Amino acid sequence: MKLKRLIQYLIIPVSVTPRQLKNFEYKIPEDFAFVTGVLVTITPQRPLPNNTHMGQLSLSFNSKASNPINMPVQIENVASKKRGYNFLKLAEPLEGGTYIEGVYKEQYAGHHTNSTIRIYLQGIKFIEEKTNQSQN
Amino acid sequence: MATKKNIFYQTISLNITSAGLTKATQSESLDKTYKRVKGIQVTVQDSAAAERGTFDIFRISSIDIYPKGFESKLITCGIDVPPNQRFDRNIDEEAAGVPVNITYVDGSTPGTTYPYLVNVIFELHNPAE
Repeated sequence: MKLKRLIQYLIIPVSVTPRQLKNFEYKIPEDFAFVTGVLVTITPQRPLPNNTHMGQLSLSFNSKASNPINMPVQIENVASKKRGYNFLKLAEPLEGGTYIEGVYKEQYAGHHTNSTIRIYLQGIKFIEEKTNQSQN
Repeated sequence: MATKKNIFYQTISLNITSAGLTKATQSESLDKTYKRVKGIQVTVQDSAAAERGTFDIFRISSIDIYPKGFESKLITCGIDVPPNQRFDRNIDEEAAGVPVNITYVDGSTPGTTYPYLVNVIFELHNPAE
């Protein structure tokens, strides 16, 4: 049996209101066993300028046994992106059925409306590779 | 014998005509003369719309490449990025005529001008002989 490496993603959406301190948790699916990267985006209901610092996010894995992410969350507009598709690197094995827990503290002082944060976890899994019988 | 490596960039476009529209590809497939897909990039004609569009489905053959809710802006970038660095290259799947199923959801960003095009560009390869 030949195994094939496949990238998988998990998206954790978090809704926040202005100046909120938000605690959240998310149960990890059984087949998501190893986190190789993380990326966070924030989308306010009303657009804000590029590079606006919105808040601070921390994430812990394996029911708080590991706490590798403490990072600022900023607005990043597509047109000003000076890099391609890049996740922050992680190497975090996950125990099946555990929770990801997080705290987001909204720090933007200006007037704005609600926002949605999306936390993207990138992982790898191995699946059985199909062999194409029609190919020579 | 000299080694030959063929690369082809195939574009599949979706025309988004109104706010909040969900648009799916119709019977699209990757070029059958190329064996592997090794990169994906998205360009969105309207810069405001680019900020909030998501994919409901992004599937090559039976493999989900991106999950529901994946923002198209993660595989889109500005013109300051060199063209060869604009692709998501975490992919190495069979091309060779396999079906592509993409459903894009407009995010109703204020300031968007409709209609606009969403182009999904696939980098297709034939392995070196």
